[in-house]
Amino acid sequence: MKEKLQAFIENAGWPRIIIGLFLLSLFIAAPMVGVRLDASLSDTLVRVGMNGILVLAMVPMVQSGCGLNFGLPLGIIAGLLGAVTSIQIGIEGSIGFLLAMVIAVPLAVVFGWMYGQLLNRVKGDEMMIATYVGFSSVALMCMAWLLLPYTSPTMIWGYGGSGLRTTISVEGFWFNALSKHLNIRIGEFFYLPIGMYLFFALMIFLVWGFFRTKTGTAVTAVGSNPEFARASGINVDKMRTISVILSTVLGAVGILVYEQSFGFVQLYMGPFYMAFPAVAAILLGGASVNKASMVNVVVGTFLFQGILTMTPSVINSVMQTDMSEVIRIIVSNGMILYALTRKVMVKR
Amino acid sequence: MCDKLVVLRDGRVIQEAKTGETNVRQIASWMVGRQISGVADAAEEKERKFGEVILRTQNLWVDMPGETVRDVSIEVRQGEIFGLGGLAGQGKVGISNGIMGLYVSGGKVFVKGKEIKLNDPNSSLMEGMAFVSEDRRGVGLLLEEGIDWNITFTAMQVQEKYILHLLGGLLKWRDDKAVTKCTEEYIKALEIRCTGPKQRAVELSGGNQQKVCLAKAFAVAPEILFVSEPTRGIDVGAKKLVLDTLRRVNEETGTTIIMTSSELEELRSICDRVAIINEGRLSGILPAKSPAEEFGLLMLGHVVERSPDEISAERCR
Repeated sequence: MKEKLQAFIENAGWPRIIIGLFLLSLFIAAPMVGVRLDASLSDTLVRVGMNGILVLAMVPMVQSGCGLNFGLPLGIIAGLLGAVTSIQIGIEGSIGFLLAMVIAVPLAVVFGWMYGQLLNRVKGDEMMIATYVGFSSVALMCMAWLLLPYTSPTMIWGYGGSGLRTTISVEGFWFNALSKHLNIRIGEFFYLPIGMYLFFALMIFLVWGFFRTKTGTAVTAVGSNPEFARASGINVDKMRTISVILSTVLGAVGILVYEQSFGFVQLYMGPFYMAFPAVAAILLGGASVNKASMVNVVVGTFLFQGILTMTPSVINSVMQTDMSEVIRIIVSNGMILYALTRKVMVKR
Repeated sequence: MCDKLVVLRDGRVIQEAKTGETNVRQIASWMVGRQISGVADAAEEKERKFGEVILRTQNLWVDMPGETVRDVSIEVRQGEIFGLGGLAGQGKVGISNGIMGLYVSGGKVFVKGKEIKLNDPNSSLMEGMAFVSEDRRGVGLLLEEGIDWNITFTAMQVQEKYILHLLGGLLKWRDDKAVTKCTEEYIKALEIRCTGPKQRAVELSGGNQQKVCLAKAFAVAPEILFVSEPTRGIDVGAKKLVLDTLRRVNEETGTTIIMTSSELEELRSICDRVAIINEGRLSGILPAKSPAEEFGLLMLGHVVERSPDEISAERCR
């Protein structure tokens, strides 16, 4: 028994056990301070489904040695373009969602290819360059959103008659396009969107499958030791580009899944900080800068979103004031700080 | 310096002795655990037969930092064990690296009479050549991955071994079962000390890492095998095993082996012919049985006496 416990601790790693226990204690404390357990659990699970694919978008680049995908906003922008174009065309329901995806993915492939070419020129500094690629692409799109010739009245500014709004509702188009399928509702507060989870599982399966193919194996080897891969006749730059494209596409698909559950498309500065929670989640899940697995994604997303949901509501109730937003910011950034210091430890 | 010494092997104490009462030869035999035989002189007695010229280089140059090759033209015959020796930094290591496309190179290389594309590792591998690098930890191994990946990766990527073709060849799925099976075979054949096929290469000792590198090359089933400094930084027992394995593979499969080593004695014990490289040029080729002094002279560049004018004239050409 003791050995089994030790083996478990070694496998999971202390950080995850400590955070897991902290999360568990929050769930236990919740009913005592008057927070509904079923509502918060449901909240956590919905957020896991929403953010999961964005976290998954970290995996290909980590595996190929390109580091954490701080350039995630680039993929998100491809997704946003797909979303607004689909709303402009005006098809409703799941077909509209599918259309958004069909538009977003080729865009993400093109963006990802360019992004990959850039990263191949800055080997060793990928993460810093990626951060700036993300930031500058957001800034560029801030102008583009104003200038692009979209005309759908649900999306453009009311007074000027041109330019897209900062927040666009997808209600009436493809709100809950995935989440509405097969969802489970227990009581008044507990709600589990199985449809969204199935899609998340499908994406995980596809990425898992990719890393079991010949190309996926080559990508992993490039991340592990590029010199070895080159000596085995692998085109290192090509493999890195493939991984960047894959990460960008997953970012685009991820944001669409996020939006259909959230109900809004957030333009302009919306994608700006989207990379950080995803980075924090995967590091929290036990990934290092050059190794990540599907388990890291699922565990990390659950722990991160769990803490993010539970801490503000529980602490709020204890302190009897409304400072949930402040606490949320402290918790999420503290989490990133923690996760990034962990990264340094792994490097050594 | 010590009064007493203990010999450890495979995690066990093999022998404890007072330093005064023993000698180097005895210690070495404890370390190896087998009697160090007269390095297989008996086997060498029988006449060795070679086939056609399998590898020919013509004015090969390689730009490898610290190991520049300037102008090397050699011919190696099928089934031969060919040695490349010389002092450190004279370019002997650069030759195999250049032919395998790892460093920028020029000139011409022919395999079985056909000229191959240089500067492209993939085409060299496709021609049936394999390489065990001298830079074990840098080029030779995926340190963070398991032994299984290390051994099978090259063969998987170049020859599509251990690959299942699904959906009519559209999907190339890694056959993990075949990978594990092949790895287990090599672990057994080469006596790799490890906890299993999944153990990470970084956790192995130098000798066992070298065996993994050899297994990686054997998995490709090469016609020409380049082995660079195979015994550098490994213990006596592993050294013998590595050399014996090379000799066995050469005998059993007729693989042509081109071995680079800084240790002349090692080359002379295993090779048929040894070429000495000096200042990036071929200084001379001698049968392995030649006396050591002759090799020594070649290393110092004394035999091929060319005037500086001749050399510069050649450069102009």
